[in-house]
Amino acid sequence: MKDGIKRLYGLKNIGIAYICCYIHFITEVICFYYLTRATKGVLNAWMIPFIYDGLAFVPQGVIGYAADRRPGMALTVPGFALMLLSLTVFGFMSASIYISLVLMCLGNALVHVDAAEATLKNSFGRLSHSAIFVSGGSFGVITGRVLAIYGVPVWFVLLMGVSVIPFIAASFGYEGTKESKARGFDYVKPGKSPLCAAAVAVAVVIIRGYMGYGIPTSWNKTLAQSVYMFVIMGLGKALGGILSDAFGIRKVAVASTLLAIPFLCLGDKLMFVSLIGVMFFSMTMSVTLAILVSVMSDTPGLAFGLTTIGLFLGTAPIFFVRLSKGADIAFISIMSAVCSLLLNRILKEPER
Amino acid sequence: MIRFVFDPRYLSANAAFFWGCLAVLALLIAVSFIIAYRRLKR
Repeated sequence: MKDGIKRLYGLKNIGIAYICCYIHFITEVICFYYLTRATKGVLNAWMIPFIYDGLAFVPQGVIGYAADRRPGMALTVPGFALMLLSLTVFGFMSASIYISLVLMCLGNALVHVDAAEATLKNSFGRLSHSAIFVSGGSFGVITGRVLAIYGVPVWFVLLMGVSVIPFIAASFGYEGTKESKARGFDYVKPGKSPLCAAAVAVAVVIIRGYMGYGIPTSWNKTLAQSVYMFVIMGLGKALGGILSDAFGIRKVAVASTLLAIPFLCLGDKLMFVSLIGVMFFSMTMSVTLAILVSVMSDTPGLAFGLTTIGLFLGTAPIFFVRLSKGADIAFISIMSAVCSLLLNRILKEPER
Repeated sequence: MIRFVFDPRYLSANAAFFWGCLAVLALLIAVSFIIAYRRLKR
């Protein structure tokens, strides 16, 4: 235990994680403020989140690859410009919703790729950085929703968007950002095919994406309960990386996927039980990213993009088909066990 | 056990945008996976 905590003391460049966490937080605040307002009272409102998921998540693979080939492009700047433009078009002009939607998605994709690359390239193979970065998103999602529900005006959210300028400027100060490689990631057992490892990581992301929407949470009816869920999700994502650095990635990956099963399955009507499950299942977020970066260290942007594509592929079926509660629980249990088994087979503890 | 909740009739006037986006997404997914496959095979 003491050794594990000691390992966290010497985390280099941890500042970039907090910078990117704030950038990610504000990105999601803007996006989910926009989405909540854009879908309010709209017929067929499901289509807007579906298109948002697709156009924001899927292009990150190609954008990530382009960013890998030309490092130091500072995509966060045009990304935020597009998001703020989208919000301005939505809030103050009577243009079609689809114009602002496409602008918002593209801006979101650019910011995500750039911030992810900055954390990965400056983390020297540690998971805490990317875990802290991704956790900012969960807090941003629920903050954006709350701001929209309480009728906060668009100009206030635009102002929040502008507040990232010093954080973006600070992120340029990290040397690793200008490199093309993410160094130090070595979490896949020797002898395992990189293709196989990447396929497992993407499969785990797809399953986790489905679980994010598919887990039975009939307790979640009020805004306060949604806040609890997203806060726990954010904490789980951050803890996944931090605990992996402290106690080992394999232990955390296997334990979190296995422990999540009973809590998620039995927590349909019990909020606290369910929240523990949500926290465990969120922990694998940085683990899957670490696997992909381990086998694609030359192209960390593409590796990150594959995880977001996996997330889209996992969430997309929810818009088209639904499983009955029993089938859902069976599916989640079996898939979590399979994920745990696969992660155990390909992950190794790096030598520190 | 499995219930289909999607009905293309609900798309009404937005059908062209929806199917257009779906085509773009399919293309982007295919391109990303092909690039990743080629890099991992190397």
